[in-house]
Amino acid sequence: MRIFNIIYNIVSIVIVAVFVFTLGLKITDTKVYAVATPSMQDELFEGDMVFVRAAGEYLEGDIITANLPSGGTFTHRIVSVDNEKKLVYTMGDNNSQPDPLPTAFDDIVGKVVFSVPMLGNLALKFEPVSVMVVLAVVLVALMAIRFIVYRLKNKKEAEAV
Amino acid sequence: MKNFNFRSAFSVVLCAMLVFSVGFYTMAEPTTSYFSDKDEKSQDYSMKKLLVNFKDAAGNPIDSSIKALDLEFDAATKFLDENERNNMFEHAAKYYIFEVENQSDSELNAQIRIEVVDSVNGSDVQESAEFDKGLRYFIYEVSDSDEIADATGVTELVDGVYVNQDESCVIKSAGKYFDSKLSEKLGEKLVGVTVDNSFDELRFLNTANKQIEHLEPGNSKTYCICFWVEYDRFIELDDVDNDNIRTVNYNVDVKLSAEQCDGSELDANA
Repeated sequence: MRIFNIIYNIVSIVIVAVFVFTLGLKITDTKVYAVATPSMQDELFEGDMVFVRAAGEYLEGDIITANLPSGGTFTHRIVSVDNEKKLVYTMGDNNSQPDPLPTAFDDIVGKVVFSVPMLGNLALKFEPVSVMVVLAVVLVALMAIRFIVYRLKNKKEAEAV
Repeated sequence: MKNFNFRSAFSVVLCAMLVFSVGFYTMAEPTTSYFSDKDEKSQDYSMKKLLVNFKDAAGNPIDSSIKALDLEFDAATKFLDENERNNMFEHAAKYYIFEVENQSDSELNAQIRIEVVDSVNGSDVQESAEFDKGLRYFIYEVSDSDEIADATGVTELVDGVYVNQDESCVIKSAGKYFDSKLSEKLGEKLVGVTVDNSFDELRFLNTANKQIEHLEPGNSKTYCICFWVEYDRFIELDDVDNDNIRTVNYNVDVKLSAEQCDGSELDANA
């Protein structure tokens, strides 16, 4: 029982910390994206998750996420900035050619502030609704088991008395 | 019971937090590459095959993306003083002309990058030792290579570089002007150019040079890189006898990217 309580407390702290962190992302308008292609290796790998925040200024060397002309986004490194025309030129670290079109400042979603390896696989490999439903079912089942164990334990103690 | 009720309620809250957090990350959008050499997946835009060709002034394909130029300038004549206009340089400017043709089967433009760098260390000439020796350059678009010949009487093509044979001209740095047909040619290009006045010389900042250009599929453009020498910067000439013809050499590389690349297909509609 004591071990269970310790584990419970540790898990609780982790869940609360992750929740507060996630809430912080929403409050600071930090967006998350899952890296789907290898064009930014070895900086970013397929399956990584990038955390992107809008910045006041974008400089050469920054990794940015920007909107694609046809929809969706891409994440590449800035290789030059044209402040007069308000354009940035980008290139994937793993590509031999720069990107063929510049990106307007207005189309930049933000700068990658940090990334977490492999976390993006959650988004790339699973359907969100399915994951949440499965998770909810598992949690409810765990709580039900715990409740039943607790009731049985109480019953035994009452009988012993 | 009281403890259990609190703990149960807290567990429910924890579950909700966990579901929210996991759901947040699971719903992250994918971010893809715009143009990847390695990516073989279909993308939802028409990039297809990037195919850009470079040709020199004679119409010969430029096979390598780096064109090494050995620029030789006559450096015999002392530079003009403020009001002196009698002594004229000859062969004062050299022009490297090339054509870029975008044959991509695509809906997107190709990005052409033109760099003029020091052959030794690869840095931009405007930041290198060649600059300290007086070499200057300016990249601009021309309607075709004949435009240079018509304007300056250029007749001789040497190793892909036009040499100004007939036109004598003066290039004076301190006064920040060109006095020649070269200046007529560059003058119209100089509108809006930013000159770095802190060096008290005519130094075109990189933003004035056409170093990054975009070319639509099916189109071509011709560019000219004009090279000249700021002789006031070449101090070794101070004691040169006017009859003693000397030359000064500069080694630069012209680097062109977005060349024809067979390995860069991105077939959007495969």
